[in-house]
Amino acid sequence: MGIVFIILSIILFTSLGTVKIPFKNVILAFANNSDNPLYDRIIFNLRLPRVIGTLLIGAILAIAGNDFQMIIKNPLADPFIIGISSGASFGAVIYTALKSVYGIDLPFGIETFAFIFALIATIITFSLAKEGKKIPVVSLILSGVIVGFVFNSISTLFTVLFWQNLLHVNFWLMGSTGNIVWNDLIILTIFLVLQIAVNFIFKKHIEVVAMGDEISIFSGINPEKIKLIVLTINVFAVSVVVSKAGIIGFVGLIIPHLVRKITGPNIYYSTIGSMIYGGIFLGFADLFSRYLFRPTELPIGVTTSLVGLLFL
Amino acid sequence: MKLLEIKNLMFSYNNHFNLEIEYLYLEKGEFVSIIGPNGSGKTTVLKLLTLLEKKKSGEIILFDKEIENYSKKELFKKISVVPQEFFTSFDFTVEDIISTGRIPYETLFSKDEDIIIKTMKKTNTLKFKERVYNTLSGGEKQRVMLTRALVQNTDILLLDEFVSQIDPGYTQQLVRMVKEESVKNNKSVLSIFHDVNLASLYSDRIYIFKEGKIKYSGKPEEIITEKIMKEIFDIDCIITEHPTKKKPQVIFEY
Repeated sequence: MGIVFIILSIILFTSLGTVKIPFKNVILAFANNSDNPLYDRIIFNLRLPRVIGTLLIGAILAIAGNDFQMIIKNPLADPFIIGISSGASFGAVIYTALKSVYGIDLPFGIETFAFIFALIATIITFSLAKEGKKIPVVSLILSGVIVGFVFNSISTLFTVLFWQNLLHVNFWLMGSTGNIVWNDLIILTIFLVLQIAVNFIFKKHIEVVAMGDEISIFSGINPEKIKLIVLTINVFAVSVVVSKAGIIGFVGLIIPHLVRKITGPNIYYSTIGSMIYGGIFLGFADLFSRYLFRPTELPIGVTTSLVGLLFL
Repeated sequence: MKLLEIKNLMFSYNNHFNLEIEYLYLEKGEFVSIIGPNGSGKTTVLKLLTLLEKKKSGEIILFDKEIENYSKKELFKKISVVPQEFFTSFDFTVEDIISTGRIPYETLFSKDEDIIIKTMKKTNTLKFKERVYNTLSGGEKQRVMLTRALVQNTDILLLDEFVSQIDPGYTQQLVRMVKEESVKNNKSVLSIFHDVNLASLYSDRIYIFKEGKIKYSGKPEEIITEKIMKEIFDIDCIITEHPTKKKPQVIFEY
């Protein structure tokens, strides 16, 4: 049923935009049977990579949110709130600054830079929050918000300093899926698959860690090891997302929360549910951003935050 | 046969609290209790046995092998734990929680469905298999946690004041269940109790802790005395004999 849902939404999202393409022509184009080269160009060069990219990004963010909420044992956690997205975005801004302002040739790609700074942000957040051996959830959220603010402020400073060379500040701080091209879909798909694989392989372990540290130990599991594995893969996946589309908040917060209301904390169902509904939700947010305000756009992060407001 | 021996053990929490155990042991099939006032080190023993804390010096020998040489999975095939209370933030079902007891045995695709169902039948928890754990009553929750420990199928069962928040009816039912496991299936039980009478009624032997040391140890009828209770808990009491079980029972003065 999820697959049908996704196919229908791809058709819908591809059809609507500044230029409206009838459903029939979208389906004909997909079937490689189109007689309108203009539509073809819009669909295959502009819309489809963006639509599929948006679905992938929504899926990655929602799965990451679900994982964070489970291992931190708090439904408030998400990659945005604990500062990871801001760190990644900062890394991406630094990369762009070094490359296009100073013309430095860097041996790594933008994703690696985003990952390094996302990792730094994560480490700072966790070490600020740490009290003895424990990491109280309230401190974690507070330090995450602080770390997020600091990184965002420096990012803003950089984008203002180098405004003529950099992408607009809105791209990094409020997100947009408008720059996604076919090639980006490969790395996004790889990380989505990795995320799902880690969740499926460590299903029982992640669940017992979500139940509590003591019960994990009593079940012969080292909870810190599981947290490290899950955190690392998700920090990496989120960094890739941020380097392609900037910071998009609230998908990782709301979607897994709602999905678990239906599926319960079972990792199989909540991961798959987060993937499907995270993708579709972000697809609608993107449609809203570019369709209602056509020919201009509202940053997608603003849309998701507005929708998030409805749930709070 | 001694399954567990603690010898000359020393432990301290940031130099505030010291625990010294000269000798403590647990035989196969024995039901042994630890009692003592708050802060006497009872729970610390349990933490050392589950490697939640690391001892400073001394030996903890489990099946002829030092406990620190066990891998986590191997250790929890020998020891299972029922905590004082268990709380989770998510809506895990009873079955989700009970099945974690099989994690030490897991191979990539093992399921262990049979042993889980069999044990749930035995402890009468099968009827709320699909229920969300958080919606159960306190007594039902502890019954689930006991079932979880039993599916772990270990020789030693550690109980950490596991009935301290449970009503009297459920308390008797749960402790009786444990006693039956010990008698019928030859399981060794090491249980921390707050309730002296409960410990006296069910235990083969008792250790009395105070200020991080074992002050007394022996059969209930040897060490549950007015003089010792006064010394340990600083309260006047009268000791009577349980009319049917012939074990000492404490009646407190006020």
